[in-house]
Amino acid sequence: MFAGAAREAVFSNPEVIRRVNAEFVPVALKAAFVNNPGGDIEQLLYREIGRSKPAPQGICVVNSDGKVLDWVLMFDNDRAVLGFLDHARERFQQHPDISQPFPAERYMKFPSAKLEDVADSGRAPLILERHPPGQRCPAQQLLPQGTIIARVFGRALGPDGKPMVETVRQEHYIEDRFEIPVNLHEEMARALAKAGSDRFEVPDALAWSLVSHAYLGQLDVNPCGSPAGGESDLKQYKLWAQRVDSGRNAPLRIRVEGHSEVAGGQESALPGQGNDGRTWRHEVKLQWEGFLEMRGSRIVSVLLWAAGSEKLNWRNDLPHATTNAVSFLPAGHYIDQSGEVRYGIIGEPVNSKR
Amino acid sequence: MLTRITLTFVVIAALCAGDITLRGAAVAGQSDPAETLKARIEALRPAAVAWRKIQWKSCLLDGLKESREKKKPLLLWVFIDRPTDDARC
Repeated sequence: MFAGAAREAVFSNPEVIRRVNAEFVPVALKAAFVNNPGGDIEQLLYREIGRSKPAPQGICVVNSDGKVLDWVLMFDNDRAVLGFLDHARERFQQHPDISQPFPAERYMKFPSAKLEDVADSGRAPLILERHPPGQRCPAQQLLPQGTIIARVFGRALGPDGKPMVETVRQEHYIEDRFEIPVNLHEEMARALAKAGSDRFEVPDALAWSLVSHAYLGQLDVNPCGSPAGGESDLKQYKLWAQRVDSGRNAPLRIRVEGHSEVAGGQESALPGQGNDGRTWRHEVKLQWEGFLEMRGSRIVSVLLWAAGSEKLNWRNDLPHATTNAVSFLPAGHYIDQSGEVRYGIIGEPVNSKR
Repeated sequence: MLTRITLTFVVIAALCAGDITLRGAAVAGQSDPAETLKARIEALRPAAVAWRKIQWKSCLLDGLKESREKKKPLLLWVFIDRPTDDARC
C-alpha cells in the first residue's frame, strides 16, 4: 500500500479526519515493527498484531488489549471508508478486550473483498503501562549529538506564478526531512579551512545530501533513487561556498550557491516481471542559494532556497487500477505535473533529547 | 534574537520579495539576509494541511493506554519504514 496514497485519499478526507479524531486513538507504526518484531515484551505485542496482517502495510483496528479486530488494505469507494470505521467501532463494542476469543477480520477491499479470518491465538499479549526505565520507545529515533535535522518544504507554482493552493497531493506540496551527520560537517570544515576566504566547492557528499531531497511527489518517484525500483539516469549538481563576514561571536557564515539537475524513472513491465504496473518519469532542475553557519567543525544552521522547474508523470497501467484512489491505494493516482517549483531547507542541530 | 516587530517586517518583506539574489552578512540598518531567507522558506508552508489534522501517536504503548482510558479502539496506520515524524511518504 502506498502510505502516501492512504494519507492523500483516506486520511485527508474531512469526515474521516473528524471521525478518527473523535472515535479512535490514531497510531502510526513503522511497518518494520510489525513485520520483523523482536523478542521482548513490547515486541510480542507487535508480533500478535502482525500475526494476522494481510500485507506488509495496511490499516488496522485493535482493541484496548492489543488484539486485532480488523485489517483493511483498500476500500470500494469513499463512503466505504466511513463504513469501515462504523464496522470497526461495532466490533470494538462487541470485543473491547480479551474476555472472549474472536477472530481478526481482514479485507483486501472493504466491504466487497473479504479475506479469510485469522482465528484467535488464545494468547493475551502482556501490555506494559509504559516503557521500562532505561528503555526507549522503538519509535523514537536517536541521533548523535550535533546531527543536523533538515526540514524540506517544496511547492509547485501555478500558472500565476504563485504556490498552488491545493496542498494535499504531494506533487503540489511536500514536506520532508533528512539528517546531516557530523562526518559531513567535518568534511565541510576541512574544505573551508583549505579555501580560506576563497570560493570553494561544497564537498560532494554534503552537496548531494542537500540537493537530493528537493523533489515533489511520493517517495517512490524519487528521481535520485527510488526505494521501490526505477533508475536515476541524471545526477548533475554543484554547490559553491564562500565565507562571508559575520559578527565577532556569531557562527561563521558561508554563502552557498549552485545548481542541480536530476532525472529518473521506471518503464512499465509485464505483470510478474517485478513491476506492479507503475510507469513514471521525473525531472528536476534547480538553482540554489543560501547559507550554512558553522561553529568550529560543526554546521549549526542550514538555510537554502531553490528555484527551478520540475516535470513528473506517474501512471499505473494494470487493468484493476482505477481513478478512485481509495479503491486501489497501491496504484496511487495519475500525475501529470509540470512547471515552476520552489524549495526551502531549514536545518538545525538535533536537540539533546534525541 | 529578532524582536517580534522586526520578524514581522522580515516575513512581510520575504513574502513580497521575488527571487532576489542573497547577499552575505547583515549590513547595519538592514535586515539580516539569513533571517529574510528563513522567513521566505517558512512562507512556503501552508497555514493548514489536511493530513496534519490527525494527531498520530507513534508509541503503541501510549496508544493502548489512551484506548483503555477513553474506551476507544486504536486505529493503526502501519506504513513504510521511515521515521514516523517524516512528512513525505
